[in-house]
Amino acid sequence: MPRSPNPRVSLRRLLVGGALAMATVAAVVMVISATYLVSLQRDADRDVRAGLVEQETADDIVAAVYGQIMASYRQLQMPSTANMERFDSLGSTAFDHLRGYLFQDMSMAARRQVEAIRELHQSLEVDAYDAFEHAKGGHQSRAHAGVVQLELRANELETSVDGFMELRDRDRAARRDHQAAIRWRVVVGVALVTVSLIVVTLLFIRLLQRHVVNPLDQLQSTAMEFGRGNLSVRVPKQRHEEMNNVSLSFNVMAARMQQAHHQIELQNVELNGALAGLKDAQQELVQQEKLSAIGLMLAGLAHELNNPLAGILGAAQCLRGELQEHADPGVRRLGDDLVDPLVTQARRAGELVRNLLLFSRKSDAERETVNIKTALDVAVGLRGYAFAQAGKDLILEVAEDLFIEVEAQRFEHVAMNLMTNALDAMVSGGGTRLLVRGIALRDRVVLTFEDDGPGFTEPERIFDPFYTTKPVGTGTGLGLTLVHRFVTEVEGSIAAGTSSLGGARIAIVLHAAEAPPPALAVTGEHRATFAIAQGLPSPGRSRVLVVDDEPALREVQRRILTRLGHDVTLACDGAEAVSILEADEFDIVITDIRMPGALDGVGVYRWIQAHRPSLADRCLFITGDIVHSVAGGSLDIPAERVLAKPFDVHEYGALVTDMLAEGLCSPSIASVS
Amino acid sequence: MMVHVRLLIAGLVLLTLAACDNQPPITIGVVLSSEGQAGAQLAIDELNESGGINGRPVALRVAAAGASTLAGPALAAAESLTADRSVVAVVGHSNSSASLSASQIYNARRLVHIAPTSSSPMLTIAGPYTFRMVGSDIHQARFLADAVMSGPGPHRIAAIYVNDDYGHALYREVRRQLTYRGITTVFHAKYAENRDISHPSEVIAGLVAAGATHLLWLGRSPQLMAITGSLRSELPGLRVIASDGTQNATALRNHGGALTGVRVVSFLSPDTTSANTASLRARYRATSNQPFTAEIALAYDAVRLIASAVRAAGTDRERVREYLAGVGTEHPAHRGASGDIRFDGDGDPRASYHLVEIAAP
Repeated sequence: MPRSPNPRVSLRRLLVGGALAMATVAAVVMVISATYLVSLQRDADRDVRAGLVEQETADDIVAAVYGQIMASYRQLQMPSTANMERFDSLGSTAFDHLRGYLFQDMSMAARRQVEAIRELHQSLEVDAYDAFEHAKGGHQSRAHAGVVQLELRANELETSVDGFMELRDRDRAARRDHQAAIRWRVVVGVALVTVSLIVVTLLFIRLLQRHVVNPLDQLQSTAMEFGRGNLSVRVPKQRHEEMNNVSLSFNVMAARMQQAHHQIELQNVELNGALAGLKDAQQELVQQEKLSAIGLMLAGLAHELNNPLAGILGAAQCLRGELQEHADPGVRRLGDDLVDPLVTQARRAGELVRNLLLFSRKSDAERETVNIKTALDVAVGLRGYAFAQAGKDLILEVAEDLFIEVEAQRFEHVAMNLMTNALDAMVSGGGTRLLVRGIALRDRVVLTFEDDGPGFTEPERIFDPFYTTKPVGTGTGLGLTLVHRFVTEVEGSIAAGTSSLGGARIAIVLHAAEAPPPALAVTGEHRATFAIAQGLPSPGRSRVLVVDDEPALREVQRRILTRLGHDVTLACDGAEAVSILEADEFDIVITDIRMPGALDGVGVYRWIQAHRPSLADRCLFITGDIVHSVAGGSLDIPAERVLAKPFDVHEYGALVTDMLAEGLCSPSIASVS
Repeated sequence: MMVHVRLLIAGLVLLTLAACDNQPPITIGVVLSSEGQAGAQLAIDELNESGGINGRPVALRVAAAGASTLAGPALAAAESLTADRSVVAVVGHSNSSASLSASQIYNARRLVHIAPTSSSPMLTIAGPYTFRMVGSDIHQARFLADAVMSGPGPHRIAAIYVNDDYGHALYREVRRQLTYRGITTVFHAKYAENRDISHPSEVIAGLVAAGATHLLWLGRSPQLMAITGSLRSELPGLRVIASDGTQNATALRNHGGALTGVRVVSFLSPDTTSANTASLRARYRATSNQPFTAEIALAYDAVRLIASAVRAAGTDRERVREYLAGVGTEHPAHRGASGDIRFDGDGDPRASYHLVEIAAP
């Protein structure tokens, strides 16, 4: 878990801080106690010193008193002012010392003792003075008796002083004992307080550790575990209400988050599935767009190729006709030797272009009856060259009368994919031929693609999306997936295995469809030679308007029509054709559909429909792209009236003758849109 | 509802009044001689006649005899009085020895005592709970020295003093003052408290031999009275000046005229125009035929002073002390029978001395 930028004080630090604070308090208490003990000790020491001083004082008192006694003796022996002053001075000393006790702290007994000593001393002094007076009066015996009495009083006073000192010592001892007891109590108290503080602190720390820090640690670790993805982890029940409430709240939150996560996961799975589907659809769309782009390109290219091919084929056929009518057999042979191959190659090129157009045609998602042989021919037409280039054989053994109800283009793609896969396998892994068979089996059509290549290493995975054994960059891994999808959509079945030839085998079973009526197939084939075979009479010389932007094609058509005995008028674009039509009458109009300019073949036809409606049935359309020839709108014209470039001259002539003759038959109408 | 409330209030008032009536009396301790007790009692009686202190009666607690003058009994009396929590203050003791000894007990146990007539210099530093009504003997010594030196010479000064805290300290101070004046005593003698001079003839002989012209008597009147007869016969021109300790009823009665002509230090002004003094004297004479002495007036004033303190500050001992300490500074001076009383920071009043000649009986 990342640390916050402003780390907060942790509970542990607080605990440690608290413990330190407690320790500090204990230390302060100890220091204060120690200071107090020291002061007590100082008081005790002071007391001791005071005791010593008192002892000295007491000694001084006693000394002074005995000094007074001595002075008394001297005064009696030798009365003098000096002795009296000495006596008085010592008396003042004793008096002052005794009164010095007045302000000291002492017990009542000691005070009484001091007062007694003081009174004793005062009496002693008075007695001394009496003795002095006795001596002055010549009463020596009384004087001496007085001094002896003084000695007794002095002894008594000394005893009293000793007694006083004993009392004081006792007081001091009691005070010392009291102080010692206090010190002991303080020490014990401090020790107890310190130990108690330590114990309380430790207990408190332990308590906090057990009841606060540990649960919080548990909560933290659980939260971290939860954060790492273990959504099922929960905080165990806690001992105390507050912590338990926190744990419960966390658990409730975790449960909700887990549920939400599960929901999100489910949605994620759905989304992933949808995304995969979208990706697939996108791939397919991209592929289709690519194909569509290729188709458009091909359409444009095909149209551009068909025009020159039409010119070449038409010119070659015209030349062939001219040479065939030459008297010189050698010249006639030129036609066979040189012009026939020209015609063949031109037709072949036209066939190739037409196959490309058919392949590039957009799927209109409508199923239609498709001749398997014809569709496979298209695929063979597109892939045959590659097989030939690779030195492999592509063999079709397909019955002519097998029909299925599918989207033609997609079926052609399927065949192309299978052929391409087989070829790639044989090229990289060995093998020489691909055999494509098609047979009918009750209400099914069975197609097999067998080769003698390396075969499938994981036949169960070949239909998986993105599965490919080709090197990186050479395949999307979607070809067979699309094949599988196509077959599945048409409710067929597909299986992969090992061929009897030793390589790969793919078998497709589809529902068979009924053969369409024999009149028309959408591939654009029309029976242009129908009229010729029927032997219809020629309609005679007619006026024909030919509209084409290609000069070569205009010339070829002119030659063909002229040979047929018609009057030909040429127009190079739709505008010229309309202007000609406005000025003149014609029996038939033959027009290219795609022409540059404002008016193309469709536009001319529209004009004819509007202005020459009787001529509308006698329009023949020629186009280089029978599939993509018209953009927008639809023209309801029979398919027989549409001729694809490059066209056969005979076919061209027969179609014109048919149209001009009465009794033209056209059972279906091709919608050119 | 209102009737019940009024009854309740009336009951509470009655209870309060009853409680007041049953309040214990304010007790003032007294450790004085008979004269001092008479003065204190007079003050108490007058206080109670006027309703007591703050409605409470005042009572005296009188200590045992001897406690007013002897140190031992004074200690016991102080111990007893301080232990009695009803005692708000003490008037006592009579002499300096007893006052000094007891002062330490009063100060240790925080009970105010006012010594009406104790003049020892040491009492000034006895403690914050010690007050007195007369000045320190330091001042009396000066007064005595001035008094004895006044008048024509020669000045051959003798001194006889009672050998206790009072006499001993006073003699020391007097001698110092005389020394300042270039005088030394020609003779001195001492006697014990509560004892007669054991050999008066020797003392008188000493005075005669010393040629004393002045005698400073720093003691009590009985002992003086015992020797004045002989003194006059031996030294007829001897001028006797006695300190304050001599003035008492006995001295003023002057039975036999022994003390006639003796000049005594008095704390009371002989001027009878002092209204308070005259009034007190009159009231005292109405109750007693004993002479009106300074101790009577001073004890009376001490009790009245304590009454003022209690009236103002209550019965708390500490507050009584605080009040007394402020008399003359924070609080007005007390107008007493002995004069205006003001205490300094040590509890001493302003010293005031008068020399009164004892008249013939």
